[in-house]
Amino acid sequence: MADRPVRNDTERSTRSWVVSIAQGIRDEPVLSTGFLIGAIIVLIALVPQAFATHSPRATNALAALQGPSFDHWFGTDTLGRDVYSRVIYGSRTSIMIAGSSVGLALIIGATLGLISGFIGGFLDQLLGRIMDIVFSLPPLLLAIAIAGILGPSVRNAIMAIGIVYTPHFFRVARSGAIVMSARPFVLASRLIGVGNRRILIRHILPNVSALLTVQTTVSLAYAILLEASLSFLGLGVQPPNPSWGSILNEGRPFLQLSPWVSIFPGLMILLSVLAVNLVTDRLRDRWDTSLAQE
Amino acid sequence: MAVYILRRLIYGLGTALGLVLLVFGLMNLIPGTVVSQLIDRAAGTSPERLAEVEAFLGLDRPWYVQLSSWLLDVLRGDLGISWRSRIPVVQLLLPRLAVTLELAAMSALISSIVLGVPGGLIAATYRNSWPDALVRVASLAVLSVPVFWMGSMFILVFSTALGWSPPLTWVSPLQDFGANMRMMILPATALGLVGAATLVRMTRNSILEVMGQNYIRTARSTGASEQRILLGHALPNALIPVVTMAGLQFGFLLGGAVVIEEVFSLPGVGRLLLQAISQRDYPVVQACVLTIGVLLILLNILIDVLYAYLDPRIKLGD
Repeated sequence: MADRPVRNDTERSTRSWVVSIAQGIRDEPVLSTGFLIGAIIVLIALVPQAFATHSPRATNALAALQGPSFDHWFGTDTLGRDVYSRVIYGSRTSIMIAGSSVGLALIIGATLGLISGFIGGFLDQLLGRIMDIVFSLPPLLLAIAIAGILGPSVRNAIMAIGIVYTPHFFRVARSGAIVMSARPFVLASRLIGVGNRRILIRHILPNVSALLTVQTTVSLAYAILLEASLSFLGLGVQPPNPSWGSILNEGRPFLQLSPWVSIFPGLMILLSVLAVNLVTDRLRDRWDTSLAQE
Repeated sequence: MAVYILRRLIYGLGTALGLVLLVFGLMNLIPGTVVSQLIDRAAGTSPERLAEVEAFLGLDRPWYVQLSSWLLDVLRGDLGISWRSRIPVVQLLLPRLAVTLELAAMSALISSIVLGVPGGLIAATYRNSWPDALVRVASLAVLSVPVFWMGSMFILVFSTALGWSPPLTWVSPLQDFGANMRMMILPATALGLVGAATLVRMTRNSILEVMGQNYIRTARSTGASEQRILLGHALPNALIPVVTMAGLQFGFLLGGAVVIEEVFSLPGVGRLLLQAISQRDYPVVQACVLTIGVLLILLNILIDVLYAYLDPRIKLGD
């Protein structure tokens, strides 16, 4: 490498990130594809007005249940609303619910898990039992029960999905904290008198963050599916507000008459969950997540 | 072993009790009493009448009295009476449970024996070539789809392309096995397909892991054929974790069954639960949640015992 041409620093830095992105795409085509699709969907969710062609709520009785056309790309529903624009605006609700509920589960689950694994004893036993209770029902069933009893609304859907996934984060954080607190560097910092909170935040948390990241992406995929199921069953987003699940719910009685109302929101779910799954799959392979099995 | 099972049963009982507390707590969280939501307020019901109904349903008692009397009833096998239909909950639940269990069992068969294990075997045999890639991509795509949407698309494809339409009334397999199968095959396949996606990946990875072990090399050195090594030596060991996974999947299938029943109009526990939720028929909601919870707790114990039986290296209770 001695004959490498010498470049000045500015030229190198501007070129290097372009090169590194190109290299990243070449080395990680699967991960990049997932990221790209995910980024586009997040963009749609952030600024739906830039993508929609119609108002998601504007009804037009004369244009009801029309098939896909140049004017209505995904066709229209019973009230003559543009399905494409509803799917676009629905992204915002669906992504928002999935993101908030996973965020809720991450914050509560990881915090409790870290503390539980680090301190151990009675608290660990108690929290472990509580999480086992939540774990004992299938996620979908538990979410239906919680959202159903609390009443159908966006807030309750977020709470239901959040509660369902809290034990997953709890387990990951707890096992990470147990493994890490036995490592020499943690013992050493304890020996020199570092406080518990500081050890947890500065030494243990960074070391379980890879595991938590993988768990977050896994849960995000499931949360999108769960929100769709809840709204499809009428327990999440309520009409006329669009979310992928609620559009599917509205399209259900007309499945055979106007299948486009049911097909396109489903494809959108497929695309977004697939994007998350692609990313998760690669992250799992790349990062050593064997800690979870220790 | 017996001590281990007993300990797990006691622990499971605690979990089931916690589940009851959770549902009970949630119902007490909602503002207002259940009665004020049950009775249409627009009808102008007097407060005295409301109090009367509350007393009739036993809702005027403190929550811990309600809970303990309900639990005592459950121990006697009495799940209460539906507030809406006035039919004992047990009578409502049992026939529906049969439908849901049949659906879940059928889809478990489809997901493991028909699709999961053969798919994983194919992917592992042709590792890193097109059949492997196809199986992996397909399983990832299937995992990215909501179960109910899969069901809807099945109905769409089979009704428009093949002229099939879902029968309207449910027939028990004891009554007419053929009609029952015709009714169950589509929902069970839709559900089983999603379950198979996980099992395919698991089987593939498990086989590849086992194939790298020393005893396989020894078997090769004895001149055994590749087919014999794969099916006779590798597969039995590779399937041990898959069996566990398949058991755990049953919980997922039960959950999925709830929505699939709704899509295919099958009279199972899922539809009962959804109906009870929308009618605020809480004894029924409680009973549904508890029954499925207890079933899964028992199933998990069974899987652990089975696991120890299949893999002699594992000792329970240590």
